[in-house]
Amino acid sequence: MIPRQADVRFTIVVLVLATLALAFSGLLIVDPPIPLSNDLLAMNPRVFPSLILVGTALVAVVFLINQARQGAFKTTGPLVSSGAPGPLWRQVGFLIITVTCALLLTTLGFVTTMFLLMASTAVLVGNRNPIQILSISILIPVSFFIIVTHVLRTALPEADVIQRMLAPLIQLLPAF
Amino acid sequence: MIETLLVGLDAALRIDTFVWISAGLLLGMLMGSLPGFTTTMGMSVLVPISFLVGDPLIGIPFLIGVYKGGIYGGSVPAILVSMPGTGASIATVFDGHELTKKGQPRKALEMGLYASAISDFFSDVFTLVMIIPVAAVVLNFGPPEIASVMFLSLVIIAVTSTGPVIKGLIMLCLGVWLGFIGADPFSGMARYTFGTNELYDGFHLIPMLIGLFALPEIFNAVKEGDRSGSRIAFVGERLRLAELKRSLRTICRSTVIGTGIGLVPGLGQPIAAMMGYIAAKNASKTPENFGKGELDGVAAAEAANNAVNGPTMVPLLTLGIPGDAVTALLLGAFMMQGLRPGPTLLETSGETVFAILIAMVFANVLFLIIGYVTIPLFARVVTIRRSLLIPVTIMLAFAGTYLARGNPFDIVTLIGFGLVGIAARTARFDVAPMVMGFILGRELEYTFGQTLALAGEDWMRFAFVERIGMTAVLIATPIIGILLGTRMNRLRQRAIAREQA
Repeated sequence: MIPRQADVRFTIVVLVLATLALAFSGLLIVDPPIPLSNDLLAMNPRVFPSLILVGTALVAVVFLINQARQGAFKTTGPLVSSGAPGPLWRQVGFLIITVTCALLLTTLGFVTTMFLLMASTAVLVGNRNPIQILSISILIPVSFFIIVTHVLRTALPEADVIQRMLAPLIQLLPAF
Repeated sequence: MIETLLVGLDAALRIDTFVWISAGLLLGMLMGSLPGFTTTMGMSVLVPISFLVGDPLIGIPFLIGVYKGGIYGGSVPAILVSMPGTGASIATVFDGHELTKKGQPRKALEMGLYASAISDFFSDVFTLVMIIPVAAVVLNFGPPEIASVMFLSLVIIAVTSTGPVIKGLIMLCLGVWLGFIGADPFSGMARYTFGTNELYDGFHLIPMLIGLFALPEIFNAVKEGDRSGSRIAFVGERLRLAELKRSLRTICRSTVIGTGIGLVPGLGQPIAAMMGYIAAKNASKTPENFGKGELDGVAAAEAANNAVNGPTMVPLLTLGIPGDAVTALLLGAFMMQGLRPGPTLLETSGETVFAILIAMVFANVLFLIIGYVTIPLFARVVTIRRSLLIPVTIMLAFAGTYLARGNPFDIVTLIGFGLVGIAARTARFDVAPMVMGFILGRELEYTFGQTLALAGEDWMRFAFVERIGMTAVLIATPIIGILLGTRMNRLRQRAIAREQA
């Protein structure tokens, strides 16, 4: 019996997480090494998280009971979620690309990762003009990289190859 | 305090501050004008720029400019294409778009601009005047009073969130719990870190905010595909002085409503705009004209939503309590600049705070000038293709996250909270209570622990003799929660009925 409503599924996930965190709090919260008296330690590190987790579980249960009364756990009926429906491949594609680029940022460097991310996002959003896609996904990250590293003097991760390629361009700029 | 205020005035009168405010206003108006782009998203991706510039007297006013510009910018698509750029502009659609249909978009946009600038100016002056006595009172607060006020704020935030109260409570609890990840404030022992060093300091606020507010918007844009508004001609008569004069009473009323709402954490612009609109309609001699292109309707909604901007700074700066998602972002920006909002902020960094507030008042003059000059431009912005802007936004989200601390783990935090935000949005849960819970939960635990230590054995004496203020707030909390919850439900039902009509 899988609930069809997105809010019910979300609440179930929250309830499961809260229950697990409560059940395994012995492992997840490290006890102070020396038993500290009330004068030194105002409150045990478990007290407040446990209170909140119990509260979370209670509120989630109340919500689920309310939804069950309204028939949210029926196996038939339309899937209820917000926003306009869109092709699934676009949504899955976007998530895969975003996660991949996040993982590759420090390895490939800022400019290359942002080129991949921006170009693929532009295609996913519906841009089919290669000149527009290439120009925004190359010029904007390169300009941003130069401004941040050269003008604001803040480091961004970048591959050596790209840094060597951009070096002549940066040398042309006045010192800030 | 007056001396500090004068030093602040001196510090605020800097050309670079005003240049950055102008840049913020322009960017905010641009973000607000784009249907599907919200002020919160715009601010979340621009927060890192505010601390990259280094100086709090440039960075924070820049963000305030984005905030002001964004709230006004939201009225542009609301008036022209009946698509509110931000939640704050929903009430502007009712009459603003009707005026466009009648061929008077220019009049509606100009009324929106003047009403916004006037109300914003007076509410900012009020903030500047109010913050001194409020800060003086708050200075006498101890941990018990701060804990009780935080508890009250959390309850208000939960009951006033978008959607049913119970959903707000679930998100609030989730946020409070997420705030516990990291070192315990008393013993320093790790909680829910799974043995990793990265989580020992907890999640960083900036990647969390960008993930929760920017990524779901981008995901939604990807889901919907490319979309641009139909081209609207910026035509019609200009607003006459007599028409503005006729609406001054409405603007004043909405300013008072918006200012009052801004002082209460959790309520925010959409509620202010709706209440301002309803109040104007009730007070009007011709209420039947509302919803059919009444200039007073535009003035009421726009004045009320912009009047919220300034007063939200009062609980933020004096108690460290952000009123909504945007002020949570401002809190993050303050903290990144080394300013810790709370009862002692005015004592430790009074000049900087007053300089920021004074810059905020002056920003309204720039707001009026820039808004007036750029109205035709932003009327065209509505038609820009999203496929050109979404890639830039996602780049800013990634870059901003990395630049906050230069820690690659923050990118993981960004993605993690982005996924939470997407799931919450799909399930129609408001993430704002989660953010407030995250920010305030840890502070609440700390002050609650201090309260326990102060109370000692004799609880009754502590609660009913020594700390009667704390007890009064705690007793009032459920009453305020129930009253506000009932009122909010009525307001939501009215808004739904209005939308259906």
